[in-house]
Amino acid sequence: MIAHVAEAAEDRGRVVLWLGASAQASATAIDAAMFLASAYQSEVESLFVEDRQLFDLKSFPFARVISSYEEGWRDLPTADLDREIHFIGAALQRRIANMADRRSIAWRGRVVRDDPLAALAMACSERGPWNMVAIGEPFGVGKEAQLRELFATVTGTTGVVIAGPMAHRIEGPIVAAVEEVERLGPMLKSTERLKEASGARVILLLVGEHVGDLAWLEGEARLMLGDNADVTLDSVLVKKGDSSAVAGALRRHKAGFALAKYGGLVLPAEGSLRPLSAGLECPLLIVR
Amino acid sequence: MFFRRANKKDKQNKEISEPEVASEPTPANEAAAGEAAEAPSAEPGASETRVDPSKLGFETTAELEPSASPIGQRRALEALDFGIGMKGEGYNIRVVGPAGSGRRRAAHSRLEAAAQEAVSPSDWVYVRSFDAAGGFRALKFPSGEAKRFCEIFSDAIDQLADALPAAFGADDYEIRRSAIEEEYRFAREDALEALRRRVEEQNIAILRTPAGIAVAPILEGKVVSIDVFNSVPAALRKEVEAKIATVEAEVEAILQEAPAAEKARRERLLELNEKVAGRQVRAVIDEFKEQFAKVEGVSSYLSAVARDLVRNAGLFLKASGRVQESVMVPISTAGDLRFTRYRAHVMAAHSSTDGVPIVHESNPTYANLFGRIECSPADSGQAPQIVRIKPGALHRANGGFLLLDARALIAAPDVARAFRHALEEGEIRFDPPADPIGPLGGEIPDLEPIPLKVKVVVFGDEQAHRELATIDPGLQRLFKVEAMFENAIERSSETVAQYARLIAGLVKQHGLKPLDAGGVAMLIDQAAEQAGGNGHLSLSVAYLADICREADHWAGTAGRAVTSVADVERVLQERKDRLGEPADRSAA
Repeated sequence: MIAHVAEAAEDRGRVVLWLGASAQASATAIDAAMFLASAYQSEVESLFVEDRQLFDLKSFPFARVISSYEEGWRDLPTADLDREIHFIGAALQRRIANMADRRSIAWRGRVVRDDPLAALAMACSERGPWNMVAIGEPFGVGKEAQLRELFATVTGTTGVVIAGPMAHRIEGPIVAAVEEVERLGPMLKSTERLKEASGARVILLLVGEHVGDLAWLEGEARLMLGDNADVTLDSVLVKKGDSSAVAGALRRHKAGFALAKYGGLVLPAEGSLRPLSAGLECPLLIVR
Repeated sequence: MFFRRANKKDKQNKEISEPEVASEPTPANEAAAGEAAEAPSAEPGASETRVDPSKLGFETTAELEPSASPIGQRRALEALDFGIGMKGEGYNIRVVGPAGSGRRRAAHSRLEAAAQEAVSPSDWVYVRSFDAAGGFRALKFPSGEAKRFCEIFSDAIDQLADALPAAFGADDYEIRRSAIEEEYRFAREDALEALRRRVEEQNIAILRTPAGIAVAPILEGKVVSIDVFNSVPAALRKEVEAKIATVEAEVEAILQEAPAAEKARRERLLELNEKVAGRQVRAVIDEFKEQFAKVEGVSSYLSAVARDLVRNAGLFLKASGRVQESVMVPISTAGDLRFTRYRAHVMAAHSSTDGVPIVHESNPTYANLFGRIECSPADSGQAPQIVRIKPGALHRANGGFLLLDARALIAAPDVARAFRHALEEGEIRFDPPADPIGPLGGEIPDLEPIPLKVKVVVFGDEQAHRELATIDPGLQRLFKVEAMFENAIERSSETVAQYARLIAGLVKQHGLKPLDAGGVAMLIDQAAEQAGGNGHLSLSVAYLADICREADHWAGTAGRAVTSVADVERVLQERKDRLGEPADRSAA
């Protein structure tokens, strides 16, 4: 499946910015959502999910919370929880609305109280299938399960944008990691669409486990590119289960936006994504 | 010591034949020609005496050796020479005399001769002091070295603007930085994730919520409802609550370690950054330092600069002009406000072969004398920065001569007082009476005073000097030498001849056509009239020069190669008609 999101006028999809799972919001992830919407003339829907579990928890007499900026535990504010969560959501929505407004991007905001993933699946299914999900919080340690579940549950999406804890850059080359010949064309098409919006140069990062695989992939890529001098080719050898070499290549190219396939050498469906996500300095669009 | 003006009695007792300017070379025929021209009426007071052109001994001024010095100003010139040569405090010079007497030109000529023989003074540069007190320190350089220092310094900063982004963009830096981030930044996340996995097996969840982290009992991955929880036996509920309390304690312990870990992370990153930046900075600054090792203060200043550069290497990363790895854009930091802290401000720069400076400041405002500070506009998006410290006349003249007009000082009494303080203290201290720096909000940056050693020459007529002494009596003590320029000279055969040479000098100085003897005679007669017809000749050189220039104009208009008596006569007549000047002289 190629990375795609429906145009705003089509009413068949949008960039869904998924928020509310934690107190953190990634500015880079929000920027990436805006960038995608701008590139595809799509609209952004920021979906703030009030986790139903939290409201279940507040009934317990021992329910407490602690935050990284506070000392010690405090009782879960039973009486004020609705209000507190409401204002956190409202503040985020306002920030995103302002960003969309500045970039002339169609925007809508929605707040729901539900299981976060179920709410996301519902939002995407309402207008599908050309949705793109942007995870609005930093993609940190132990999020592999969440991503796996997202791809399994949220069928109405063509891809998911993540921004790691170190992500800070959105300007720079668009780097697409390609590990299969049949992906060369769709990936190139996606990067060229993104290039139109940013003007950044495009790099196809060929990924393989063996030198022979890479050489063959590179040959096919050169055939496909022909005399297209706007695209740069680079290649990197990756050990199965360790995509830190891809992270290194992205850093070296000072990538502003990256694309990779879910369930391969770069982003294995099983196993840790940490070698890549921890060193990621730009948003990464993970396509199915 | 004061040189007093010769009184009238002294003059009358003077031998008429005594040459006014002893040092002038006199052509052999000069005295004889003058005597012949003036012979019938050489007695003082014979105002009606006319000069006979035929007896002057020349056809045109082209035959005369132009006068090298002003005539009739021997005492003034001696006083000037004394004042110029005299060392010690307070031996500044008051040049007294009417405007147009040639006092300024004469003084300048004497000063130039002295200036060329003297050793060039030091150069001075202001640089930002990188100590806690802030402000600017003054660096003293051998003559001719300040500009070289500034050029090399500017190049060094430009080099770093290129080298530092390259160093911080290198792969090995990225790897080392990532390793530190890995070690510290994710430590908390790792610990929380490990705890989450461990307690999940005990049906306990660590929930991340917008309100913070919570610990909850779960069943099949979801938080149990209170009804379900209450339905289990009390002992089991107690057990779950105890487990939750234990997990909470662990969560709290992990979070409490975060600030210390963050501090350690920052320190390690800072250390890494200083190592990377330090290597680049040392490579550039050490070479630079070597070139100026013998200049006092430069080495310590450059060490301070190096420390600051390392600490603020981030400035250079933002300024990188790189477009891609293989194509470099030359970087200039000169116009970038972020780098003003590394700018050197030349306050005095000389050439080692030029001698000492002579600076004439006709408008001695505070800024023009003591310099000014220029700031970036307040709307430049940053706090106002000092972009330039501009030297004043005192900086430029330091080590040499400063020429001022008494009337201009009278018009600015505050400046005159500040000027006196500078001379008394022997230093240029920037302490303006009013805020000259606008955007800094009245805060005057601390500029280290620069030692001042200057010989000041103030020009003015007697009245102006009296007024100046009134507005600041202390100033008078600092002007121990007075050069009094006369406005008239006694007429004698010899002074008439000298006068002819003076006219020849003016003709040559202004590049005019030669003036014939008739014209010269008429000018001398006019000088006699101007002096009041009492056996004197006016020494108003400026007036004489004006007549010569205007006569030259008419001669040129008529297509003549020599300016004639008719041209001079026309000028005098027209001046009479136009300005009401006396022109009661007809051609002899």
